[in-house]
Amino acid sequence: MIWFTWRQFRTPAAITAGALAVFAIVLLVSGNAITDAYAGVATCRSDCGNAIDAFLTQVRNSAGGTIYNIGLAIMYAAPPLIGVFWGAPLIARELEAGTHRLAWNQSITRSRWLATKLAIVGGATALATGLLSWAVTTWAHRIDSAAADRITPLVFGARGVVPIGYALFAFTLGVTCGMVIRRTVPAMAATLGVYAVAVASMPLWLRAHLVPARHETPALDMGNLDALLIDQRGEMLVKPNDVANAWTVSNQTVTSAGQPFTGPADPTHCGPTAPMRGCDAWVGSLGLRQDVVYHPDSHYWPLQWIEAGIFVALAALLAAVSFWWLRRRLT
Amino acid sequence: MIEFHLDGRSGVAPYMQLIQQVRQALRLGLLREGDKLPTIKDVVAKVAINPNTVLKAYRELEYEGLVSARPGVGTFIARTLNDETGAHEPLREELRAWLRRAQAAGLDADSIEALFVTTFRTQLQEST
Amino acid sequence: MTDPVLRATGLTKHYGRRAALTDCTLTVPPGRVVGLVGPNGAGKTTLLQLAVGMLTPTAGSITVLGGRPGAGPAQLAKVGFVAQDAPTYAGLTVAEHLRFGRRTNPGWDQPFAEDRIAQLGLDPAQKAGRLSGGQRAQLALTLAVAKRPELLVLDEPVASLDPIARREFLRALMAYTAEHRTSVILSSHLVSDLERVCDHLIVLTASRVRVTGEVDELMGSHYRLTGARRDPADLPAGAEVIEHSHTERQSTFVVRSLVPIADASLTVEQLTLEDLVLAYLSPSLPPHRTELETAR
Repeated sequence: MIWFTWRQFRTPAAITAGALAVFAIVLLVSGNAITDAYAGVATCRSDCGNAIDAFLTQVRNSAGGTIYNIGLAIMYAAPPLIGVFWGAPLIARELEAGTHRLAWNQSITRSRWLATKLAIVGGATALATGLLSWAVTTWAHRIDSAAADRITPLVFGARGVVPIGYALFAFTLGVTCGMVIRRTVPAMAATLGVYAVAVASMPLWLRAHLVPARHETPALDMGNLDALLIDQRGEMLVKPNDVANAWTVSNQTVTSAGQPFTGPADPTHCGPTAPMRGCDAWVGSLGLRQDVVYHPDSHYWPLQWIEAGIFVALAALLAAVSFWWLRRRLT
Repeated sequence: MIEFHLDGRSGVAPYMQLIQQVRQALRLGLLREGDKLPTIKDVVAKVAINPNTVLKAYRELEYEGLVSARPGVGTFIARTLNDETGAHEPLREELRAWLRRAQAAGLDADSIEALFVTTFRTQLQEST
Repeated sequence: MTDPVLRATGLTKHYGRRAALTDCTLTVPPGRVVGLVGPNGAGKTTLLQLAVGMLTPTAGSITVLGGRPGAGPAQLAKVGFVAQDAPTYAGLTVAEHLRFGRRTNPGWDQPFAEDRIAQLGLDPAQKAGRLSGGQRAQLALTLAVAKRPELLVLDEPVASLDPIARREFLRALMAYTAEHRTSVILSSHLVSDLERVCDHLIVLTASRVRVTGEVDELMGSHYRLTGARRDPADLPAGAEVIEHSHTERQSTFVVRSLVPIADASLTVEQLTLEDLVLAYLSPSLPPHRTELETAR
């Protein structure tokens, strides 16, 4: 059965290996350019901010920037592609073609048949995604540390072990959809739909709570504002900068009583006729605080492991469901 | 070697048809004493019939003394039917005479055949 | 009777509200070629799939070769199955199919399988998707017999084949049976194939078993009676009416009787197997007749 599963999986595996190889070569070649550009940052001693900005600009404007974006795209696309093209057809194609009636008459139980398929292709999933993620994370390592944004949502899901969790979840989701729906193309569509909802929900609602976030209310630092806006009615929006090297979940200005600060603006200090700096000084005198909830970079690995763990657990649950369905299902 | 065939429409049981074909072959001299009948496997490979049918036919022929089975070697014709030809000629003459009378009475070929077949079948049933 | 290859008691299978098989009780003796015949939708595929463990019963029980169908590798090794339309893996070659069989069946006889493939004239390197219907059926049969099963179950194996391929398949099947004395159960809605090939019969209509028994005994105990118009009750005692039709002057009955019909006013004729099956398929049969089995 092991040989047979591999024989059926031969072509997708070869295509994927080929694509990974090509991508690996691209990464290897462009990695040198990144290292060269990073030289300025590596040697700087103090006030490296400028060197870092220069490095990031150089990378963004070169081929490295394109590859960075491609890397992001590939990391987000790989798991659902695996779910749709490796997972959904795994069982659905046999059910659709009726070949399960041939396979289930050989001297192996249905459970062993499914277990072998899941193990081989699931193992390939973990391996392929692991290699891919390792390659991209390593390649982007300097850019990530310079930009200090690896824990922010967009980059987080494309680095480390989380993509492996996504891929295993997508794969088992595909297998289960294929078994329940019994036809390949509808199973592919269902897999894609459910996957998108599940994976989008994580950063939107769940991730922030996986590890207790830091909640701080320091005094408002007028020198560290992102924006100060006043609209025609005098309502104000004072937006402090997000925390550096962290994922800022929420960030707002509050009064000393803890309510969000919306003004109203004092026309004498902040009206059209008032001097420029006067408004700043007036706001600074109001005793406002910054209410910020954030995850510092030190939470990166805990979040990675917990999130990956959740998706792997979901994958295990889906695998159990598929075994149960196989036994109770009839033709 | 004799080759068997089955007529699905004749209403005669398959094993009976095989027996009849062996007898007919003996009558026509196509099979002689000592000739080997095809093995059961050869028969069913050529004619898609149940091996038990062939087995039954061969057993019946053996019971009648027409064939003898030698284990490991095959099934062989034990004697011919020619001993019975002595009875054929007078019967053939009587049949010819009857046919001449039937034609003279105005019966056409189909009526003669129908008359013969129904009488023959009824006679067969009554005698079994 | 020596141990039956199949014993079903009150076997029932429902799909939701629809009854595919209702209260089937039958026993199949070993060493036979058993024909399972009935119109489309009668429940033939359901019965066969229950026998090989593809389905589980809703009620009642079925044992095959003394074990529960599909229960573990040992049971699966004893039963070879060719499903309807002989499914094969279109992208795999003939040789790869054999390899699949070898890897998944401990009792696999590879030299036998290769010999069969060669005799059939199949190219081992040919993909199964490129084979003709008849060749695919032969490949599927090879896969089923090469693991040396005690029982072969074939679901309408020749239904979609042209007459030549059909005859060749049956010849190959009979040759195999002659050599190996395997029990065979095959279903068909074409009765003419069955008469030459089967020695035991099961007739299934509308999810119920109508009659089952040895072909010879069934042929010897069923008659067609024709005569002047009369009521079925006026027939000789012991004659059980299976089918009856009447015109103004004439009545025709298909009856089953264990004793010879002794009524001079009736013409008694033998039936072909096809006529016998058709008589049982006809709607004039009372709906709740229980299954009949010839005494052994």
